[in-house]
Amino acid sequence: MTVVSRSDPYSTTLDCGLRVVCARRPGAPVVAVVMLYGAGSVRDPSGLSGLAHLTEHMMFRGTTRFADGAIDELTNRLGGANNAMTTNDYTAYYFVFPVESWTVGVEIEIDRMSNCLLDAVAFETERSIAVEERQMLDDEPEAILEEALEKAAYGSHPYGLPIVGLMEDLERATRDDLRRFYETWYAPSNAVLSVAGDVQPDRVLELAGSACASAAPASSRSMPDVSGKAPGRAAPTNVRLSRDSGIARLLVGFRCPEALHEDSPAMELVAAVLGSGRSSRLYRRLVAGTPDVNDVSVDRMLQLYPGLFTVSADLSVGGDLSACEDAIMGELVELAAAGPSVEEVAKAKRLWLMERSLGLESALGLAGHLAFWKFVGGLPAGDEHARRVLAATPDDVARVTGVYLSPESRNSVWMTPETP
Amino acid sequence: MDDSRDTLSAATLGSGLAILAERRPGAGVFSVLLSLEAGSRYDTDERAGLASLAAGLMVEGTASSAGQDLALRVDSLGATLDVSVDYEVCEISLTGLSDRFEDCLRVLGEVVREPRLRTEDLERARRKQLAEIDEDQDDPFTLARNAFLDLVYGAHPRHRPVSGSRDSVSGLGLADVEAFRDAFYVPAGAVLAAVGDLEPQSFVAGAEREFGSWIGRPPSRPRPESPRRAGGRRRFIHKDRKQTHVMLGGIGVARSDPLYPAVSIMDVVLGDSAGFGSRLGRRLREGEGLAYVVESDAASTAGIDPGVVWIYTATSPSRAGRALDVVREELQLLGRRPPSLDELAQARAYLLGRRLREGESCEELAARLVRSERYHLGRDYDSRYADLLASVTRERVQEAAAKLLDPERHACVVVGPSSPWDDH
Repeated sequence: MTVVSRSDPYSTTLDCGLRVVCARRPGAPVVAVVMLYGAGSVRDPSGLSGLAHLTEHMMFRGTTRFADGAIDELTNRLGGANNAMTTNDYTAYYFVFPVESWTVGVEIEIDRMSNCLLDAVAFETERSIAVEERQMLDDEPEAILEEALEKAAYGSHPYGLPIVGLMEDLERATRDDLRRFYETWYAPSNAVLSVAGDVQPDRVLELAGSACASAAPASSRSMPDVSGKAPGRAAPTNVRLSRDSGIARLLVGFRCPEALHEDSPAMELVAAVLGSGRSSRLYRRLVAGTPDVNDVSVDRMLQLYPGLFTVSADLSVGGDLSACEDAIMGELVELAAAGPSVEEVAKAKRLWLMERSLGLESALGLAGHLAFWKFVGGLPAGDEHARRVLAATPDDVARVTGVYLSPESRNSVWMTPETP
Repeated sequence: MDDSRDTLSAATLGSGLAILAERRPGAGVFSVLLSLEAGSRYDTDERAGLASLAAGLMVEGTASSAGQDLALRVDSLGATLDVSVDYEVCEISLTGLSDRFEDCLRVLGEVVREPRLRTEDLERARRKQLAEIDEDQDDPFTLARNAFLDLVYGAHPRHRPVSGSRDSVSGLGLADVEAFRDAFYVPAGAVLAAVGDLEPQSFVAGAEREFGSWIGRPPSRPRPESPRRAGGRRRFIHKDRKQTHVMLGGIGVARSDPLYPAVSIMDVVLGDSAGFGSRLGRRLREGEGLAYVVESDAASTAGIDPGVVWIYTATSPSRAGRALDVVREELQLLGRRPPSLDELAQARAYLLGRRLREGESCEELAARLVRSERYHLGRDYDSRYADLLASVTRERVQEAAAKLLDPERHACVVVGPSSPWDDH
């Protein structure tokens, strides 16, 4: 079994510090352009949660070259798509254009790296939109569970605060706060440009070079030191919530190793053994094996700092959340003690490989994948991660399960239906 | 237009099963889709949810592979076996790594040829479906959409939620599922499509081998009467939430309607474009900051029967009235005045680009092959698509808007803590 690779991507770092990746896909009909900044919510100043996300919104509200609304209009006119996402670690912007128009995507990204207007009226409008987004998440049970779990698991570390921000912080933020954030973190030396499709690296470099022409030298930029921001361990907790809902919900989380940690690849297989497919251990035990659990899923976060490994379950009204959590713990203890079979690990690898292949099917998936690994540690780290996933043994899976998923280190959140 | 796609092969078996396959070199993965004309259109009000229950049972095992055996076979191949149901069709899909394509096709053949019906499987599938129904009650969008379809479609079969109701699903039994399968899980009218790094002719040969013995009598498929227009009805559903969810609209067009291309363009101009560049996005979100989400859909549900046109947004309760006013103004405007030439050009470009992007996925390409067959679009549809869009005029878009976007003839559903009509 090998990792699918059509061709090795080109990768370099420009004088101004901008990291550039380019993956060629001859014949592909579209080109994806991703610009990723190390400016996720972990960079939100104290008392200003949501500022990184609000900045993401403002990046679409006009620059000295593109008026407010022009980025979306141009995207439409050229048959493209655009969007952005803010995560704990980074904020990423993307364009996907037909192959003949992709350079516009790079031009917009280079321009808005330093020329955003951050207009006062637009800022108030975007604050209002972010408030709506905050309220939307307050209405979504999955988001409520996740935010409660992150708060319990990370405490005062920025990973414990919602990416969209707390309502009081959104109301407190000023345009000056946002401008300071933008001027601090939106710089070539804090960014990765990734392009995937039928393109020549030389052309990407030529366009990206203009970012360096207008940027201050990387060495003159002052960025706050965040090396001490790795989260400490939180005490195990069980948070209990209620809701006028017809189903009961459970979310259990464990601190799992960061993306570059040597145990990170084996954790991918732990997730697959436990939760990928109807023959996975948790599906068999909980969904096929009990009358109350209707769905179970496993997720793990690859991040700069230790992320969360989570198991979530939906139960019918009257379902026993305590028994469900015990059953999950039982499976984890069993996996750590006896380990998976060779066949189980082989199956997990194939499922992981398929999920990865589907993720890289589109130019955007490929560009995003490369941008992420370039950001956290370089493309070889991503290749090494994949190689180690496929090389992991049943013993590796058992060992990391024992180290990271012990019942004593869990945080859990229960959401029970309210009695009318 | 897309160099990454290759040969297309097609065949129709004596049983009526249409087979289509397309090669996508270097894809690494493949997707096979079997589309059966067995959606909730063929439920009755008393047995609402039957199509969905019958579909859910398809992945619970086969005559020769019990549920967990089947699951283990599929997972060991590194594949996913999924089933989905909508108003028109039940679709069983297998997606996997290209190197085990033949094995996956064998599994799919077995699932279709040798379905298993056991009480314990039925109860598990029923439980999951009831849980989905309960979950829908907790999702304001789904709650609004279901109520909206009920208002818009009246007695037409599309008024029912695809998954049925707690009462109807609780009353379904093995005999109901068996009868539904016998009637509708048949090769006549079914389409099998595959896309990936595979040899199309080999796929057709493999499909003939796996599905050649699959037979069944073509069912009678009475066409429901055309739905009546909604005519200003509205419904408020109280839900103690922070936002108020609004869905308004009415009956749309069928896929075969000559107005369909104009409706697609109308949809982009109104609310379905890149970023927030549509009229509703620009005005409601970017202009007034009233909502995080605002979108329209006038084309995706167009099928053998007329689909639906809806506009959806969610906002603070105190701003719901204003949001409704803005949406109505925009709907009326598009019905009264044609879009500008520039808007028309942007919408065409957006739709062409979207088709290119969607074509990156084997799964989407397989679904596209199915649609081309089911709606008789022709296998050259991709190459004709640009001309089709180019033939749509501004006046034709206005005609579509005047017909479909008149707020006076729309239904409206509001889900939230308070009704915007109390003081509106």
